[in-house]
Amino acid sequence: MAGKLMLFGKIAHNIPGSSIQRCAMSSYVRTLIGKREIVGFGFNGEPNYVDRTDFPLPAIRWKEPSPDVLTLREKEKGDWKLLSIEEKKALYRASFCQTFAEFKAPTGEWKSVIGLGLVFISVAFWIFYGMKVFVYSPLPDSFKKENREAQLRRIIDLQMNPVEGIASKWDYEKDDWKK
Amino acid sequence: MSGEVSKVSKPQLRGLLQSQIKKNLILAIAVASAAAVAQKFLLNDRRKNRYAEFYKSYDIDKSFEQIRSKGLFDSC
Repeated sequence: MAGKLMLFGKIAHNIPGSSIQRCAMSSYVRTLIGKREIVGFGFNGEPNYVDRTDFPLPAIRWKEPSPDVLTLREKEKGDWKLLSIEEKKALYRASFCQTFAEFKAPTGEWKSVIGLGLVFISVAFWIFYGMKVFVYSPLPDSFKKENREAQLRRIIDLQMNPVEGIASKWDYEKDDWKK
Repeated sequence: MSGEVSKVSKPQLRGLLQSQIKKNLILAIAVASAAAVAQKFLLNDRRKNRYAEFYKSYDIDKSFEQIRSKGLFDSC
């Protein structure tokens, strides 16, 4: 990576490009980008193109050079006030795929995320119901109403959690819940 | 469209992390202290008082007799 930073430093200082071209030939990745010009470090030093807000200047231009764009580039070296709006836009689109406004535009993906999430939750509910009907054995006797009432009566009689818990809600004089 | 934009104030371009850390640190300490104070007064002290009140009037021998008379002890 230090080598790539030195490379970028060479570009910034306008050193003749022959040494840069020699380095550019040595990676398989660089054969994938076609004739597109490498213009910087990008986000990881590889010659790739991604529209990102945190790395706004990709390593390569978006489009391969065409004669029109090359003439515009020559014009770009002069005073920018002489460029028309259409020419500026053409230069932008040659170097970039989308504008910030375009790639930051809301996609509505959150709706599909929530929707699909709820669909899977519903499936889970059905699976649970199927388990209850076909797989689980019957509940033990202690779940019956009379058994649970007897358990509660025993808990109250033993005065369990008498300060802040269940027995604190019971009135032992009247043998009923506190009003 | 172009005639109605409002003036956007210039964002802070230098020393942002430091100023953000300072602001967030003060905010975090304030919120944590407020939470701790609220916890002490609204929860801890309430519970301690309830236990103190309970034990002021608690007769353990009476409770023992109540439970024993229902036959719930194994040893007596």
